[in-house]
Amino acid sequence: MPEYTPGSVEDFDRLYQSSFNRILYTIYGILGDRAEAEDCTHDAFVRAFKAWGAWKPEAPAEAWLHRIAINVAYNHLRQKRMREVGELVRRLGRPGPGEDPASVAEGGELFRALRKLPPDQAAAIILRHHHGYSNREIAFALGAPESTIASRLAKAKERLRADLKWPKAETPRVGIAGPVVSPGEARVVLNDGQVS
Amino acid sequence: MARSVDYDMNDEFELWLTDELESSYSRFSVAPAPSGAPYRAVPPAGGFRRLPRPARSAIVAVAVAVGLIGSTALAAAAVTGSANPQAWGQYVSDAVSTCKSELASGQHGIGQCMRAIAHQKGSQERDQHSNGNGSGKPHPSPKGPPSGVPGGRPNTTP
Repeated sequence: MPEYTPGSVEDFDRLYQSSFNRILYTIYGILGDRAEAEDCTHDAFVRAFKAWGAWKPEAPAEAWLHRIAINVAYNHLRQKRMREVGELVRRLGRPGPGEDPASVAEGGELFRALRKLPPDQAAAIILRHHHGYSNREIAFALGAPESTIASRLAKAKERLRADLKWPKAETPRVGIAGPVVSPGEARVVLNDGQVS
Repeated sequence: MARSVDYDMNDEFELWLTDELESSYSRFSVAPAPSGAPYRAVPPAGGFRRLPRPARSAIVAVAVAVGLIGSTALAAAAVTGSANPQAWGQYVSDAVSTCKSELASGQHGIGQCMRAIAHQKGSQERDQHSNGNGSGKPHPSPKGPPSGVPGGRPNTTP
């Protein structure tokens, strides 16, 4: 793991070079729009740079950056939804603009399905299955208790399987010799109701 | 960051998910991070504390020196009653000559003598002000060495 000194501009430049695209990818998984994801990622780096002197090396620098970036993305989504409510009221009865075709082509069906997940679940999927984060690192990036990460991931994967109509979805079992349950039942069992 | 392997890689869905994210990432980020990052336009947080220790020490030393020069100039201006730095210099060099001439043989140091002259001059100025001589105009710079009047000769014994 690269070593960084809090407050060092040179180290922040290195961190930016090594993590920009990874942060951007995570935020894209949450927002589903590349231009918006780039804006949020740059905004996150500006915020992180201002706070760089206060970064504590016990937390991985990239996970710390992810936490800032995910919060920026949450705020962006909230503001976007507020705007969309206004838009909806204005154009009642008229068809909506639909998805950006470029974004659909770029992300494919997986990203279309990720966008339907709650933001923290979409982020957890990318952090685990692309960036290879441990539960502890995901917990730090999401600002959530480590004990909730496994259930969030399980819930997110279950929803992705259902949405993508994954043909070989294995039926989850409860316990070693427990009864076989349907995916719908499994969601109820695994649901911890936690959304940060 | 090292990939963690604490998830079930035998699960075909997880394998597909990982592969799909990887191939999507390679399509997604073919370009390096943009060079004109907006954070570079932000002044670094922390300011003085972010400077290296030698630079901070140099700044403190310069600030102290500037402060000392400023306070010395103010003191000289107050004692001579003149805003002219040449008058302050003349006053101080006269005082130094007087104090040196008054040193007994084998005696060193004129600091006490200088302090006494400055104190005496200050008292003199205050007396002039209290006697109504304070016209609001600057006082003329003193000519010649301090007279020692009215406080008499300064005590130079340590």
